[in-house]
Formats: sequence, C-alpha cells, structure tokens
Amino acid sequence: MLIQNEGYRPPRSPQALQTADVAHEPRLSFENLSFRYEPYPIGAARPVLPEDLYRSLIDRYPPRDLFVYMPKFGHKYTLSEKFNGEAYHRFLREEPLWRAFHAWVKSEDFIIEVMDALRAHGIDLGYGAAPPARQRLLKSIKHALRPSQKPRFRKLSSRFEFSMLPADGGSVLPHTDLPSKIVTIIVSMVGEGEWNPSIGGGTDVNWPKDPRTSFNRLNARGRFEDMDVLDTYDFQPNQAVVFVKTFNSWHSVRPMTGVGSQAMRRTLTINIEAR
Amino acid sequence: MFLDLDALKIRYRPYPIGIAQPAMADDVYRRCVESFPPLDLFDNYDKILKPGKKYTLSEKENPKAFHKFIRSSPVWQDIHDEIKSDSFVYGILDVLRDKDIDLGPHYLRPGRRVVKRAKDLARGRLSPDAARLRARFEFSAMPADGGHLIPHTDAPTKIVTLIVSMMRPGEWDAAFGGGTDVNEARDDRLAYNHMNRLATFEDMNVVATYPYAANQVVIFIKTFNSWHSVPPMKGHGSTALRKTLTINIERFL
Repeated sequence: MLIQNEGYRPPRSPQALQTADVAHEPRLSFENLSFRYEPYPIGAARPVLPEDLYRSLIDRYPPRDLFVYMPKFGHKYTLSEKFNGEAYHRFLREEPLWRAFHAWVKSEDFIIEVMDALRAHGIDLGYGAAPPARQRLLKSIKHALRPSQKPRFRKLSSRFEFSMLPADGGSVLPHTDLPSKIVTIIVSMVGEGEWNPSIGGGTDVNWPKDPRTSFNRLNARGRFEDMDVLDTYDFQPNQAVVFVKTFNSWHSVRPMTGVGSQAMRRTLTINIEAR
Repeated sequence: MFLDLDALKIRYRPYPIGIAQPAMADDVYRRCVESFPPLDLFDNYDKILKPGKKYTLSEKENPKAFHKFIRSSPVWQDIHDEIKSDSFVYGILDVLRDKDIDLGPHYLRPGRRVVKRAKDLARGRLSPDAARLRARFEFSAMPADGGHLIPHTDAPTKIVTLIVSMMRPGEWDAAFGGGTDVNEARDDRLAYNHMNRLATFEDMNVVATYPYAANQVVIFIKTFNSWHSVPPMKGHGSTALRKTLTINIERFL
C-alpha cells in the first residue's frame, strides 16, 4: 500500500500534545548509523525516532497545498524557509510538535550532536562547539591583523525543508549539493508498510561515467544517463540517510514508477551549512 | 606565467592530480636550478618537529632566511613576485577550470571584493567568490638517502598544490625513487581526511606515482581524500637531494 497525502490531521492544542505526543524529546538518534566511505561518506540510521513520535510527525506532515513545485531540481515539491517561507513559518507556528522538532534542529546542540556522530565514524569535519563570543571576537581580530595558517572559525547553521516527490515519476536529478552545504540528512516520512519499494524512491549514490565530471564542487546538475549507480538507500520508514558534501558527492532519486499513483515520497531534508 | 601548463594531463580519481612537462622555459628553469638556495639555509623537519625526513625553506617555517634569500636572488625575486600576484593565482584556477575542475572563486578587483564582502555580511554568509586567495611557496629538499614524506592530504586551508622539480637533467638516479605517490587509504576510517591527519605508508595503497624528473610540475587539488606521499628514498650513502619548489594556493580571508 502507498502512503496517501490525505493523512494530514489538523493541529491539536499544545496541552493535548504534551500528554499525547511528547513522551520523548523530538530528536533524532544516530545510534544505529553505519557508513560507506567510497566514493564519499554516506550512511543510514534506522530507527532515528521513537515509533510513537515518528508516527505523530507523519500524521502532522504539512499538506500538499503548502508546497511549491520545483522543476529545476527534478519532479519535486518543496516547503522550506527559502521556498514558500511564509507558509512554512505559519505551519511551524501552528504545529507544536514540528515546532519543537524544528527548534532542536536549529539549535547548536543539534549541530554538535551530528558532528560528534560523524567524528565517531572517522569523519572529522573540523567543527566543534563554538567558543565563547569574546574568544571568537578576539580570534577574528587576530586573524584580521595577521592571517594565520589555521582555518578560520566558520559558523554553522542548520535548516530543514519538507520535500515531496510524486510516486508517479518524481525524481531528483544527480547533483552534489551547493558548496555551502556541509552535511545533509534525509529523514523518510512514511509509515511502516505504507510504501511499495518496487516504485523506487531510494537515494542513489552516483558515480559519473565520465571521470572528468567527478569533480563537481560547484554543484552542476547531471543527467541520470551519465551516472552509474553504486548503491541505493531504499526509501524506508523511520530512516535517516546522512552524507557529507564533497567534490564528488553525486546523488539522485531516479524517476519513480508508480504510474497513476497519487502517493508521495515524503521526506524531511536537514542541511547543516557553513555561513 | 613562468609555468607552462599547456600540456597539463589530469587524472580525476581518486582526486584531481596531474602533471605538465616541460613546466618552464629551459633557460628560466636552468637559472632557477642553478640558483636554488644552499642547504644551510634550510630547517630540518626533525628540528621543527614535523614528521618526515625533509629540509624546508619557506616564509612560514623560517621567514627571515627565506626573505633574505629571495632579496639576494634576482631570479627568485622575479618568481616570488609572480607567485604572489593575483594573475598567477587566478591564472592557475583558470587552467584548472579548462580541465573541468572548477574551484569557484573568480578574480574580483579589490573594490568589487569589498562590495561583495559587505553584501555577504549583510546576508550573514560568505560567498566563495569573495574569498581572498593567495599563493605561497617553499623550497624543499629531501635526502636521497632515506628522505620521505609520510601520507597526508594537506591542511584544510590549502586549495591547490604545485610541486615543481628542481634538478639538472641527468642529475637524479631514478633508482633512488622520489616520485610523488597518489595514495588511497586501505582502512575506511582514513578515507575521509579533511583535517589532514597523518598516516603511515602501511595504511595506504599506491594508486599511481609521478616519478621525480627534471622540469616538471605535479599539480593537485586539496580534497577530503587527497592522500599523497613520497616513500623513503633508496640512495643509501648518496648526498643527492630531491629538490623542489612547492607552491600552495590557499584561502586566507
């Protein structure tokens, strides 16, 4: 059975939410994360949320009419700070559970947690907790006066977007992500048994057939026919696919084959970016 | 540009690295080789507590001796001035762009860079185009008798590295070794090395080697996996030196 987008239920009051839904803190767990390292670090963790909380987030996933169509990136719908920002912020204001989750994703704790999880897997991006403001200011002044060889402190921020790809032909073209992105986390938003894997929807790890296109720091778009598929992370419930932006982090979602289906491959895509 | 990169041949995997030969006009190259600084100006890696068996003379490690030497040598003063120019830095980036390696930053006049930087600050983020790039170089010498450089990927601030061999034709016995190895980590845990952890030779496979030869430049891009090394050389009892000019383009503002 495919998940239908009509599952959206109107928000409940914060009080009702507290007792019914927030038995757990709304935060992802990277405990079961496992990586492959070639051609770039990419892995998956499952489960990433307590089952009841995950179910509640799915039930309150934003309705389709809030999304904007993004043909530039494939056959895809998006709702984010950047695209349809007003509706995005209104939705978060009205949905306490998503608002709490959003607040955690936007917190420094979240970034530190992700960096720690990556470091535990041998992926050190060189970012730790931000030093106190005074120390940062001092360092900036010192750096301006005498540029050192040490990497400058760059502040990281995080943001998330809701994405939907139609089971009938939805896709994301091969790309490597913008240079400002550091880490991407794609959380599937589908209930157990609600997605037919034969439709596709997995995240492909791509390898360009022409080695000259391997280096893609600036995120030129590729074509499916120009890519080999090294691996696929199937679209599964309560899963996060995590990868690091590199010069060769080619990935895509091939056109899905649910002809005539109204189902949507719904995800939450979290990005950690350098400012 | 004093370097001739018309004949640059790049391999793209595991990371972009290539070679051009000849790297310089013969007469310029000969003058550079003949006026290469004497070893007594160099610091020993042992002395400055760096791993590897190598001597270095650079603006970073021993700036006084480096600048004194540059001022004393018209040939090297010219090379120094060129390497320090924006036209050199952005010229190298243009050459790489022609080889499908687009690193992003384009040259911006100082005034435009300031405007762009101000706009970026107002937006709360920095665009790569506003980054100030610079080049610096070091003279390196490794003894044919055991000289080596352990596997590493270069510091995160580096963007491009160019290694120009500095020797008279026929001066070096190829049996000594001295080539630059392109490495690939055997252990997954070393595959991602943005922060430039050091590894051992045993941790690495050798994917390719660029032998040390006269008038050539090896050029590569710093990436998360740009592992490279020079394995211990085998010129037992030899006093020969593997001399190079190592140029780095880096982001500094």
